[in-house]
Amino acid sequence: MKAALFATCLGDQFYADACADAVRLLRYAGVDVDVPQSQTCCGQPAYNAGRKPEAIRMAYQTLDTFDSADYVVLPSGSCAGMIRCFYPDLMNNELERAQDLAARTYELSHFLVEVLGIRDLGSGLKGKRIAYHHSCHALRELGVCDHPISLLKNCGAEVVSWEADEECCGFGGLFSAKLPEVSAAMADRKLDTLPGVDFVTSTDGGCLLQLSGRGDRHRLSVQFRHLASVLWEGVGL
Amino acid sequence: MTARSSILDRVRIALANREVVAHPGSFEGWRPFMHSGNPTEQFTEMFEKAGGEVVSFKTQAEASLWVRGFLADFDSLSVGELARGRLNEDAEPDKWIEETDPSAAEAGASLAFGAVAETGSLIMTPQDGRRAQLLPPVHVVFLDQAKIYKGLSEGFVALKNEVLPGDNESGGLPSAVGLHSGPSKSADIGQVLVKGVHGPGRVVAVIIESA
Amino acid sequence: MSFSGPKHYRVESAKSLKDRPSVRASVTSATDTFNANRSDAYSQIDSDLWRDWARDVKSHALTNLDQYLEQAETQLLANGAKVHWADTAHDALRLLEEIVRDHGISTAVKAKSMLSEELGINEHLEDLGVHVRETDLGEYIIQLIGEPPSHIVGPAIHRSLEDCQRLFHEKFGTPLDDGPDALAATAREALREEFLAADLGISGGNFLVAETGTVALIENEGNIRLSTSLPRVHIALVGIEKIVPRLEDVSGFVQLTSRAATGQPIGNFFSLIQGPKRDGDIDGPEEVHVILVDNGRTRLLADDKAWEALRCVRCGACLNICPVYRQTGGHPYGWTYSGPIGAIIAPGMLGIEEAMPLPYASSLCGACVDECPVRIPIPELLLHWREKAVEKGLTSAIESAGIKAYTKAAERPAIFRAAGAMLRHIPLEAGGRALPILSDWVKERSAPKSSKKSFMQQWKEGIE
Ligand code: SF4
Repeated sequence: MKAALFATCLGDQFYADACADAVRLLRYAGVDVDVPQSQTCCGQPAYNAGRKPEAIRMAYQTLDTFDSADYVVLPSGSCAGMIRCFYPDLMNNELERAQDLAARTYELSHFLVEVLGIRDLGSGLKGKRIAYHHSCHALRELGVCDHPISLLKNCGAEVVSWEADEECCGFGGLFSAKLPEVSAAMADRKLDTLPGVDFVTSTDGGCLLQLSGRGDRHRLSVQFRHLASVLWEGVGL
Repeated sequence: MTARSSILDRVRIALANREVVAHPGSFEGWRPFMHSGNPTEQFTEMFEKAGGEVVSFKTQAEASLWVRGFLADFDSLSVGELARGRLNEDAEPDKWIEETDPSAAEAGASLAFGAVAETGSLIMTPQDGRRAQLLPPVHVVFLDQAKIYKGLSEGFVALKNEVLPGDNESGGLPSAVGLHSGPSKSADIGQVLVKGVHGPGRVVAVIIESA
Repeated sequence: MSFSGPKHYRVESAKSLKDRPSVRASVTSATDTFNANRSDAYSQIDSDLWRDWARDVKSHALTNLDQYLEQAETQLLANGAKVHWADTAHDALRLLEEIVRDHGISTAVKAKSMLSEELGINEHLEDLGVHVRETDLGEYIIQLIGEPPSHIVGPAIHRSLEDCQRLFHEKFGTPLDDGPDALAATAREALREEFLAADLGISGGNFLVAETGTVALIENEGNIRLSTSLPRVHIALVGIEKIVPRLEDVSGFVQLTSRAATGQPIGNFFSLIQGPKRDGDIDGPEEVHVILVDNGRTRLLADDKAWEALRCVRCGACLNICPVYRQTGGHPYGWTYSGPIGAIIAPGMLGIEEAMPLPYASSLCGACVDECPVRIPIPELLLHWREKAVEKGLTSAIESAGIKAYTKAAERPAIFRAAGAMLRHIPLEAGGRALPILSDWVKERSAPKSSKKSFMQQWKEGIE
């Protein structure tokens, strides 16, 4: 099976090691991974800022990049949601191509479970207590809910219950810079309710930047790690 | 131009190129009134869940007797216009009842037009007197079991179809209808539930099984 | 005290968080309760189907609004009620003034109505020398404090028990440790006198039934029933979007709205008001006036997308679930309607210029859209207004230039990567302070740490 990895702009710069772990994970699962070199950004930051024309240009860039891939896999629920849910509307003069791309696009854990049918990766997380943060877009746009959690559990981790696990972390792209005070309070709500764990993980680098940035301010010792890296550890090689 | 015509004009302009959405008709999905075959049981369950009380009697005479006993504990009473007849049935007239204005009464008695099972609601009409239904802290309500409707819409239909005593508009609704689904409540102070804020804090539905 | 407009949202929300942490605590706990009750209540019914139905009934009513308004008017008149139309808040106040003068009214009791907040009824009546008393317990509390509501269903949810204890102690001399029951009893007694003395009762209207000319009102305390039953004159202020076609529709809406708002199968009291007291009625108002209010609603109706927001039944579910609203409550939004619904109707009713920055007061998490009983596509409409804001040049020039440059780079992968590489070498914690967007980020959080090597670099070098 062949799949193209879309590292995303944020992943490339801030979660590079997690992206590399995603490659390892996919290869381990028998996927022939390609990383098309013309990939840049899915256009979500512009789209969410209300700048459709710019978002459309980035959408075309992405569409052209991944036109020939069997599957497009992203270590991000948010960017995968952008492609799956909003590209068809943005590119109505290329509707078929956009819909086709949308149907081939998956967030990493979603891909592992739904497309590859993987349940067990290994037992590398035995004894670990993990809190899973639902990225809003993974949860509500893609319906990715149990996929990452069951993978983590099957690697031996204890995924502890967390009152605010489905609440938004307050990142929201530009939102976090436009309204930083409210955004920070949203992160605090997550951190205040966080049970004692070894680390917090999520599908999305954006959420993790926000939570770890705020956690760091509060001098919390808990780690925030990208799901791709945690799952790779779960393989236990 | 009057405000009326300017508003309606603006509405029409706004809607000029808007696709008209069809009315979906009656709601066809599952509704709470489908939950039980027995409306009385469902009414009782819902009404009690909302903090109301329900007692049931075979005949009007038994019900009247019980209510008179219940009301005897209070110093001042007000009785709804329609409830008065129900209260005195079989009783030696005027033996015990002394009515005061609802604003001063400790307890009030009313007759419900009917009730709704799916929501656990008593249907109250103005022919009985709105003040007597609202002002006393304790409210006792006669309810004929035959008039417990399964769903709210059935209750509305019954209201529309019935020519109410004293109501000179047949086929229409009374001037005002109140559905009472348990005692008055509020959680506005520190999110703690409090009963009897403005309306009655205690409501007792007295079901009469035989017509 | 009234609102000063949405434009101070950022400052006010920051101030609330910093200076009044108890607001955040009270709002979080109250909305947690609302949320738990709602999801329980939704789970007992076929809530998906029911919400589809409600969406369609409301859309039907709105896309035939002119006809239904006329039908409602005809019915109300036949029922003996008086009907008035108000283009603006100013018109509504003038109508109110006429009624007050005609009837020599000196005291009024008010049942909770967000429209009356929107119109500024209380201030106006007080200016006319009419004593106005809010009778919903939550509204009463904030009227005594002198602040506007913080939530469309629970106006005082930002206030803690201690706040109320202190307030009642100051106003009535009650002991500081009086519990909610005792405080409510104090309020009941004080308000009872006002109910019995009032000449005028003012209410809103949850629904206006075209078929029967019915103003329908949902509540829990009984103050709406009292306000609409005791005084000799009743005025109902009703937004023109409150129309539902048939009485049967209301039997669905009252249940769905109650479940969405508080998780109850139905509010404790549900009033269906057709008109004034008739022969054979024991009591009731001698006159019922219905004021149909536009005040920006037709403007919102004219928007090709955002008109759907007029389906709103003001249940507050979107506020309760909104992680942005939950941090501060409603006050920082600066006008009557806060939270997600406030953010999508403000631009349509007030104009986008006046509504800024509310369309941006959301992380677009999408939690609201899953809860709305009439399925208003809230995140979509937030984006819609953001687009309009950009078109009108209402966003910052720096942001605009930044996104344009970013887009250009994104179309040229080599440049995009070179820029990324450069950025990675700026020490973000210190350097970030000088950069326009990052400086706001690092104010509240530690700067993001760039990876040592970008992923693309690692890929090129080969991943083991
Ligand atoms: S937008 Fe929907 S959820 Fe929000 S208040 Fe209105 S009806 Fe309720």
